Amino acid sequence: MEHTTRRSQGGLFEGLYRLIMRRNSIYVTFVIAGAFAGERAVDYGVRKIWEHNNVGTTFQPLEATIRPKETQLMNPSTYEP
Amino acid sequence: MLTITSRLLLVSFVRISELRLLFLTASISNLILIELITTVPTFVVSEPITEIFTEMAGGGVIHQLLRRKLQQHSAASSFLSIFASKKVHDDAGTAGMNSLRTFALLGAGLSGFLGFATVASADEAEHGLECPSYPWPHKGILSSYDHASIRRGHQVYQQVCASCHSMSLISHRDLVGVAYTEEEVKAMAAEIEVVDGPNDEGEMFTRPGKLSDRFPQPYANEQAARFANGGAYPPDLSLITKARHNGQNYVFALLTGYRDPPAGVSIREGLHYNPYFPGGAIAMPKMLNDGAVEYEDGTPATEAQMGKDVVTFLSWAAEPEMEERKLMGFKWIFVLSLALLQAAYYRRLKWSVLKSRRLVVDVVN
Repeated sequence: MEHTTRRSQGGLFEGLYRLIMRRNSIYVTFVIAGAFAGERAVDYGVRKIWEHNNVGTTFQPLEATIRPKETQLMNPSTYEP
Repeated sequence: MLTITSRLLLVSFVRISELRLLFLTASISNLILIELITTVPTFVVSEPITEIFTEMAGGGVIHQLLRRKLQQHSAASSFLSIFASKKVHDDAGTAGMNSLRTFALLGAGLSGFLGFATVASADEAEHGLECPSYPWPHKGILSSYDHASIRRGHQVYQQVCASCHSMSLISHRDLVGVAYTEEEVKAMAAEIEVVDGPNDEGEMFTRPGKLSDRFPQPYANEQAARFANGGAYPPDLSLITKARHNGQNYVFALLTGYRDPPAGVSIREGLHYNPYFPGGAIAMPKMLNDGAVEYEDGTPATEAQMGKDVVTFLSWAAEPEMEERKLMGFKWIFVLSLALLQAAYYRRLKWSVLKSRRLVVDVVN
C-alpha cells in the first residue's frame, strides 16, 4: 500500500493527467486549443529554421537589390547626365 | 498420432517440392546468366556503387527469406526420416539436409547477384554514361532554391535556349515573387506579341503580352520544330528535370558534357557526340560557351556557371512547389512524431488496466 501512495504524488505524467485528463470536456478543450496554438508555434519555429538555413538565397534579399534600381528608374532626377 | 504424421508428411512434401523448384530455378538462372556473361563483355568494374548496394540488399533479403522459410519447416522436412521411419525429427535435420539447404541458398543468392550484374552491364549503351551527383544548393531537406540563380537561369534560357525549346507550361506570372518583381515581369511580357481570340468582328488580333500569358513558343507545332532542326524535336523544357531520370544531374552533365568522340566512334554529319545522351549522338550542338551570356548582376558567365543557373531555373520550372513542400514535410513529420508519442502514451494508459491484471489459469489436463 505504501508504494502506491508514493507513486500518486510525483511524476510529470501524473501531474499532466490530473490537470487535463480527469474530465473529457477539459481534455477536448485542451486538444483543440493546443492544436491551434501548437500549429502556430511549429510554423513559426520551422520558418525560423528555414530562414536561418537559407540566408541570402530566398527572394527577399533579391527583391531588395531590384527595388532600389526601380525607384531610381522611376525618379528622373536621379539619372546621371 | 497417425493424423499428425500424415499432415506433416503433406507439409514436408510441399516444402521439398518447393526446394526442388528452388534448385531448378537457381540452376537454370545460373546457367542462363553464365551464358550471357560469357557472351556479353562484362563491365563489372564500371557498375555504379548504388547498383551494387541494391543487389547486395536484394541478395541479402532473399537470403534471409529463404533461411526463415526453410528453417520453419526444418523439423518436418528431413527427407530421409520420412522414408526410414514414421517418426519426425526434432533437430534441424541431417548433414545432407543442411548441405542441400546451403547449396540452395547459395544458388539463389548467386543468381540474384548475377542477375543485377547483367542489367548493370547493359546500362551504359541504353542509358548513356552515368552522370555524377552535383552538390545542388537546394538539395537538403530544408534548403530553398537560390533565387538569384533562378533569375540568371531564366536569362540564359531566354537568350540561349528559347530559340529552339518551348516552355509552354510556364506563365509569366509564375516568375513574380520568385525571380523578378511584378513590374519587371510586366515589362518583360509586354515585349512579346501574343495572338488573341476573335474580336467583335471575328478576327484574330495580336496584342502585347500580359502576365497571364504563357512563355512564347519558338515553333508553331512539332512538325515545324522537326523541320527546322534536321528531324529532331527539341523537347519542351517545362518538366525536363522531372521527365528524365536523375533529371537535374543529367541535364547539367549533358549541357557541359560535349567532347570529342573517342577513337573509333564516328558521328554522322548533323549530330554531335555527347556521352551522357543515350546512344551518344545528340542533335543539339554545344550551346553553353564561356561568355555567351552577359549576366545582369555581373556574375562571370562561364560554361559551368550558366549550366548551374539554367538547371536551377529548369528545376524551379518543373517543381515550383518545392520550397513549400519541404516546409510542409518537415513540419508535419515533426508534428506526427509528437502525435505518435502521444498515441503511444494514450494506448499504454488504456491498456495498463488489462496489463496489470493477474490471471489464474486453471488447466484441466
